[in-house]
Amino acid sequence: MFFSLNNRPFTGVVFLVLIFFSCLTSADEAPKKILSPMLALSAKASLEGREKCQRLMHEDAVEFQKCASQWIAKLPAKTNEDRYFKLGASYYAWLSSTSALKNGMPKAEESAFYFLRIFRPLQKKLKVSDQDLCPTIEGDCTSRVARLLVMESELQSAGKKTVNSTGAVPSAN
Amino acid sequence: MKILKPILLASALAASILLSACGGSSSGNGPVGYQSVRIVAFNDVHGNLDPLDSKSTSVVPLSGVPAGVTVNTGGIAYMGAVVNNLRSAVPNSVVVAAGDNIGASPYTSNIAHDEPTVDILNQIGLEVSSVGNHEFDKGLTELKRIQGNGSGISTCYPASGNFGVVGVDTCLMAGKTFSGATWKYLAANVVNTATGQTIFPAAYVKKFPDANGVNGPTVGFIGLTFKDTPSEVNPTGVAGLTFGDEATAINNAAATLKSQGVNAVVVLIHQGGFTTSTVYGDTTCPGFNGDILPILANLSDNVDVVVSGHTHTDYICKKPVKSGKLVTVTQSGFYTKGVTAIDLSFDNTGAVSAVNGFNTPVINPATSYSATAPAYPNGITAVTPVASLVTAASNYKSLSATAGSAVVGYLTAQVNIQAPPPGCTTNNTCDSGSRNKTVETPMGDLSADSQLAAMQGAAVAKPGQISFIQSGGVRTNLASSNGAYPGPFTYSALFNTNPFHDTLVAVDMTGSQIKTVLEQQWEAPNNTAFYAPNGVGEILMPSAGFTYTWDSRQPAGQPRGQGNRVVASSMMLNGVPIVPTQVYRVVISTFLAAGGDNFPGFTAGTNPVQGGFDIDALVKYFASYNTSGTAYSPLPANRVTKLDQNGNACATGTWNGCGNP
Repeated sequence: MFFSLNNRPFTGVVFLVLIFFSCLTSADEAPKKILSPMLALSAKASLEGREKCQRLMHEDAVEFQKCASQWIAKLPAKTNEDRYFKLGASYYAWLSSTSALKNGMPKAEESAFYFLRIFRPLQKKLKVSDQDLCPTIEGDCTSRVARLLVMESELQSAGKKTVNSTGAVPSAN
Repeated sequence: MKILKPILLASALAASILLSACGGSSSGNGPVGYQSVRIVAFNDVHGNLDPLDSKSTSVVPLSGVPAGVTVNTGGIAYMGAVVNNLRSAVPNSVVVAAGDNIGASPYTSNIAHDEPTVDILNQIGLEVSSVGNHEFDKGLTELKRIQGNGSGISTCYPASGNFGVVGVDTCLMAGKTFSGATWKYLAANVVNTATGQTIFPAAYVKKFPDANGVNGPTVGFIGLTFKDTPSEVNPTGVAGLTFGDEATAINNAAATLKSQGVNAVVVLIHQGGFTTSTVYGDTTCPGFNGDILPILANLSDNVDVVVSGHTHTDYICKKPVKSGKLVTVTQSGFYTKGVTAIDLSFDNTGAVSAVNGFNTPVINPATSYSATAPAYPNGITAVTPVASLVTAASNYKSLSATAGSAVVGYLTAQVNIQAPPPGCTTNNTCDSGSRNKTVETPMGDLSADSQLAAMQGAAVAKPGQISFIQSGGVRTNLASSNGAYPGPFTYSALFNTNPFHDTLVAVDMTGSQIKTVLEQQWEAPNNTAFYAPNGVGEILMPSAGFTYTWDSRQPAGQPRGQGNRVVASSMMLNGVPIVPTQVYRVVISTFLAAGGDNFPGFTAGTNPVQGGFDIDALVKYFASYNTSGTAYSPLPANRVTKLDQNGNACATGTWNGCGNP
């Protein structure tokens, strides 16, 4: 796992907050894995995103995508803490879209690819492995990472052809 | 008032349970043969009969493929087959639903007032269901008609039943009657405010036979919807109704059921949660969250199972109620794409000893009933649809096509919405590339004109003066059916332009309040709600006679109440300036009247009088344009004028190429 505090001063308050969230993978679930302080920020972001946007995943994924993308676009990315928070936010938005995709939610595929194109480069830039990122949101990492790799492969193969600005690719069907 | 409501509700619950209990007394329960019971459940069918392409897939598990496999799912004839398979595997079963069986339906069911869906769910054997929010879309009177009176007497839509024309009225069932649902709707927390009674029974009791076919377990079902239903339904649909606290209603009904001696209590609730699972059929319930959690946390131990809905996903969870007891919480998915089975086992005393739930995807071999089957990997098996249900669904599709093919009027040219600029193709910027919501359009103006006309005339006590329709409510162009002009257009073409089946309402608004609403077109958050390059905001299109100018040099995205784009002195009604303090009669949809699409200014309207449906207004409007010789000519979209960056008026239809947003 990679994370770095770089040159950021760590205040006592921030430290306490991170310690608190480092014990959580979900607000209402028992902790499954102790997260690093930086990935705890990612976990915190996922809970915040859930609170803001999850209810909008209803008739289709359009309103959810709009809510999450506007929120994520406004997040700062100046510090390492910012970037880990943004990683968690966009990872959550991808996962929520992918979870809706399992039920055939209209526009969920476009939404999932949209957020995949946001969090994947950031994840690689921060050098966070899939295995380390996955526990920031509770769930089965085997199926989730496998689904992630399938979608990434589809995105890459589509990228060799035509990918529109949302990153949407033709349906696998 | 806060004290009275629970008391009112509790009284209503007790009375309604007594009325609805259908056999099975506590004295009949004995320590003999408590054979298990399978509850077969689904939710949020929303009138989906066909396995539609746009929402026809699911990701299902397959051994050795951790990511799961994408398959086609849904279709009511396939869902019927899954229900039959689940039922045939056990001696005791019952089919239940958690609401939104109807409402927000595709065209086939929608045009026939959801009677096709009611007929087919009757055939599938649905026995009891909660109401959902969409059951109230068209009001209690219509919902009561859907429930039916059980007598077999025709109660065609509307209640007079004197139309009998497909597409105008329905009654499509055999014998040209509509006798309503054979399942029982439950509404434990929905009270008629005037009578204090629940609108439907709170609970339903079903007694199952034991192994000898006599005295088995008794299961009580409680049905309800979420208490905030009024916030998600047209206000007219829930007028005169009170939606109570969910946990209170459940606990009261459960206590009554237990006192009557039921062996198990199953809640059917139109409220749900979400998990983070990426594969259908998960039973581990990761990251469960959502509005159902606080309800569960306040339930009593009397509850054994919660069948949920509304959030359009699937899960099988074990979650604690108030005491810490774990109850099984399920949801099957939506749009006929999955079915839940919950097996209840009982010990020798009749107490619930085990609850085991699982979800089964409705895997179909094709995206239509007649398409060629794709090859699925080994281990993935599609179901064979129930032939009689295929016939019924196909019949209704044919009938709806017949209804939709009726000629409503004639056009001299296509009536257009405005397409986005070239290159603007994505959801996030241009509303799926098919529509530009930031400009006035001829189709929007036509829609507003029809709504105003519907609320005028001698029969209307306070005739409308101005009508508005939001660009989000106008979906597509209106074209002739043969491509020639003058040429005829059909009911289905007209329906597709305004597909929401909204009810109209006339309200009083001052000139000042009208300006406030107009500013909300570009204030936050509407300034970012579906924008196109060089276009901002969601436009309200006015009826003929109302004109105004807006200035693109003034900023968009101002906080609510601080926008200043409308040139106040430009607002005119039939050439006369709008007076800020004068009251005008404004016709809008009840959706807008409730502040929909971020236009809360409309909630200031007073003295509301309800009208008919928007589609009916359009049909009526074209009564004057129903021959080739009287064909309707699209009007130029020139009721709203945009000023460019130099303060010059943009030419009609060129807003996106005229100055900045």
